[in-house]
Amino acid sequence: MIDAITEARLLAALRGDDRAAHDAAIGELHARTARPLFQLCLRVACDATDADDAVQETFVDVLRGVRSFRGEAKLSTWLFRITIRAATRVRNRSAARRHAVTDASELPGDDDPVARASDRENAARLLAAIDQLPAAQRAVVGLAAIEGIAHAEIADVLGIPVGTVGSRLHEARDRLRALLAERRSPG
Amino acid sequence: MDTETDFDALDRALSRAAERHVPPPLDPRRLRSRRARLELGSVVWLLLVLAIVAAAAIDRPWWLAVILAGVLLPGAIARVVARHREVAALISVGDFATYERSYFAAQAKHQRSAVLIEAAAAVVFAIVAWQTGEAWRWSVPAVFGALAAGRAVTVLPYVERANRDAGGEPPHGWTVQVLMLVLFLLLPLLLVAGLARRGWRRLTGRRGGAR
Repeated sequence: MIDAITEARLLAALRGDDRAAHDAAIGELHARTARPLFQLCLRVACDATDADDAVQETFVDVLRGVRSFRGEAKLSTWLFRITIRAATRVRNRSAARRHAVTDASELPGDDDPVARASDRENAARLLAAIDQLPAAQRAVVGLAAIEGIAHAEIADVLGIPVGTVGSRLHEARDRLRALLAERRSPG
Repeated sequence: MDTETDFDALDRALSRAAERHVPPPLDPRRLRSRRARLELGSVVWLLLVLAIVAAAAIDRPWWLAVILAGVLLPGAIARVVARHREVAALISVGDFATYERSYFAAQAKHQRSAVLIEAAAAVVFAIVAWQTGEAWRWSVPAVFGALAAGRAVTVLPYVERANRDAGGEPPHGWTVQVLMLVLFLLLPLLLVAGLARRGWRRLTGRRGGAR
């Protein structure tokens, strides 16, 4: 997602006092990471609007914490940790007014009528099932959905052993299959 | 479609739907101002309370303000820093959810107490203002009253809703809070004030007698 050279450059600009360079760096970081972070937030918060809010809050938290970021982890690892926290916070905050996503029109993608409508229906079904997973499993499912992320990095983000990532993902997928099957044949 | 392929197809559909999403633009200036508000909010709040307490100090607001700032401000700053570090140290999502629950549960209780304390302070300072008969002193109970009302209308509902959403323990009812305020704050304060007053009178009486 972000190579080491870009990471060092962005961090230097974000920690520096040059306002223009700072704004450019946060803009570049957003352009590079907003989509994968949205994928993660969508699976943790289970709501497209909440996921957008969580991505925005993530960047506020990045700005607040970038000077104290010690660089012991990769920038992306740190970013994912912050994102999961932000998405969990937004999910908790909107829990009273939220509903499980069953209305596909709330999901993105509305400019290609047939194929995209089908995608949205399917996505809403899966999201409604993910909504019923425990927080720890939702986070693993969300991270695993990000393209190019290895189990080792997921383990690093969540602070769990690599083996646990595999077993948690396996458990989550089994549970999702069961939930989807239940929904297909109620009663 | 069997469950296996069904699940994989749904997973791909969700990823495609998310891929097509256009993220809302990010405005660094708005982000910066929001961050600044978050960080400065607690300090400004404390300074406001200090200013009120200083105004309530009878004749020497400036030195009382300095003493209070010297005593209270480092503690408040240390609390903000400690909370920041505490949150930064949380790694797992479960830990974070637990932290949020306990944080909002504590906040919900604290905010109810704060409303009652500010309302009680408004009443006490109103009595002081009424007894001294100086018009300017009414500004102190007015500010405490406004603080209590403002907190009750804005902060309290937000914190209680957040606590409910996070699944935190509900705060005590208002009756219990009032009883606790009276038993553990007002009565001990009145007792100490009464003893101090008696001691002061006895001391000044003896001095007067020696002369």
